[in-house]
Amino acid sequence: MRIEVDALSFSAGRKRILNGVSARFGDRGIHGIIGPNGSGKTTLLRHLYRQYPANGHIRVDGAPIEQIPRRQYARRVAVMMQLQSFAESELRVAEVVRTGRYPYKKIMLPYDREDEALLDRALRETAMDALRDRRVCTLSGGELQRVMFARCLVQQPEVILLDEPTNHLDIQYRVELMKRLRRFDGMAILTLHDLNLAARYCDDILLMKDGAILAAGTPGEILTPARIERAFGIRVDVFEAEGRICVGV
Amino acid sequence: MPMLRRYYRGLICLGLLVLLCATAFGSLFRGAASLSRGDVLDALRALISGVEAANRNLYNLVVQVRLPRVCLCVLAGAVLSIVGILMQTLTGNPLAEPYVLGVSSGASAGAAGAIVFRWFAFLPAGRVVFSAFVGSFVAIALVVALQGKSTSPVRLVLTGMGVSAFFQAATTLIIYSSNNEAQARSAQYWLTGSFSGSNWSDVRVTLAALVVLLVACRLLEKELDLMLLGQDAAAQSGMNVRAMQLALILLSALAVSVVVSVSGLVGFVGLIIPHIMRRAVDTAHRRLVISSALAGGCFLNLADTVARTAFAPQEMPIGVMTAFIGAPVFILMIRRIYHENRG
Repeated sequence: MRIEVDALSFSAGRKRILNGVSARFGDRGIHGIIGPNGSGKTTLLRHLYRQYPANGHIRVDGAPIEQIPRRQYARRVAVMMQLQSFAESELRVAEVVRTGRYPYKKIMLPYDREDEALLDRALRETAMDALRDRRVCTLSGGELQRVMFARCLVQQPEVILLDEPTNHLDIQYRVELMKRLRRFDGMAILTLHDLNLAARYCDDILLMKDGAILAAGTPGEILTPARIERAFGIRVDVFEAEGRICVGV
Repeated sequence: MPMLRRYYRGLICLGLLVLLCATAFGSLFRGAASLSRGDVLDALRALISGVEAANRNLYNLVVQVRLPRVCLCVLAGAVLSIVGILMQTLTGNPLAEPYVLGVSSGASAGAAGAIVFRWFAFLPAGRVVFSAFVGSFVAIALVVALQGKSTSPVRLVLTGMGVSAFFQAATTLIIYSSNNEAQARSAQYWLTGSFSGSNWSDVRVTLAALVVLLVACRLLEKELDLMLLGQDAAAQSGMNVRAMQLALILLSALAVSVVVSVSGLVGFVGLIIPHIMRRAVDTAHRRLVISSALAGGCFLNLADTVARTAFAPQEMPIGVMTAFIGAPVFILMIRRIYHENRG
């Protein structure tokens, strides 16, 4: 799936949040969007999950995004939900994951065998099958994150969108999530705070500031001391160790 | 053990069904008029076999007074519990309930208006229920619109308080502006809630409402479960959130207007029962709806049995009974929500 964003602008009230953003997201790989708070990275992502109207500035495989019926769009693009939004829910693990099949179902028809088979597979892949009857409010942060990922998997999307998915997670779960995205057979677009995670796991990076794209390219091209200073206003060291880029603050 | 775990939710439902039948049957033997066990059984036997009863008065007392009342309590309890679930899913809030959010008050204002001012006089039948429906629809639409996308329980409950206070004032105003004493007394009934004077036509209307709710819940099961993940998640999964909200508002308003027009204001049933069933059974809707309907019927019938026998021959309004039990539960739930948010 190819997503093209072309001169996208967006204002909330009188405040301009996106100012003529253009970007391309190719078929595969992990695309990271980084930038300081208020740079518009989350707003850009929300346009991709259609929370805001794109007014013809976003095309998916050549077609304007708003012309794709929402249900069909949901079959191709999954949004990994935020932790807090259902961390208190008394729903059970399997019930939450099963809702990922919703875009494929006709109204008034129940989930069927095929859905259950996909559900079982996703729970096995995320090592959640032993906990399938647990209520999600009793899970740890890492387990919750796996539940949300499993929900994306049963949706069988081509693209997974994630808005700061690693924010509330301990370091081992951040790495675990990024590795899962690596194994995912499709494209992931996510906003990130952690520059080292972006360096290590993203195929390319979009650096944003003040509602505009500052630079786009591979981690090696984007994560330079000069660019980071321009975006975040701090001096950092960037060094390479064993072929990896590390950002030292 | 795994077997037990797998079936225990089903077993709870079965247990509730048995309990419901037992308590409903038992409550036929209790009432203001002292009937012996033999009298009641004779009347029931006559009803089932179709044979003329030996004592016509006793027969009528059992078949035309007690039996419809018990049936109505069971059905109304089931309907109120399911409406509670629907409104909780609609608002994403466990504290939502027709009485707490003023939806019942909206219905009673509508009903009182239909009686005193002859609103909707052009309708051939069902004027009162229709007017109650309009009232409850306005109330619930108001609450949902004022709530917007906020998930704050406090905001929802305070909004509901405001709506409730307004419609209760409107009901009182309507009652006072009537110069017909009998009318005023019958309108007063909409404010307190009672199952005295239940008849079979009330039972039929309530049964119809219950069937509509059960069928709708079954058909919309996926959508209801998805809504528990929040409006944004539902929209991202391709659900038409607005249409679903409207459907739930219409269903709730319909059910509340029916219950209010047969029994007046009966609060808190839709709050307590789903709350308990979520913990005991499931949060997903399939089993939650069934178990809550059974438990709600059981609860309201028991409450009514106490209400009509505790101070016999005086009758306590049923709303007093349910509030007496429900209000403390409500306060505990609020405490709990605050505790969780802080800790």
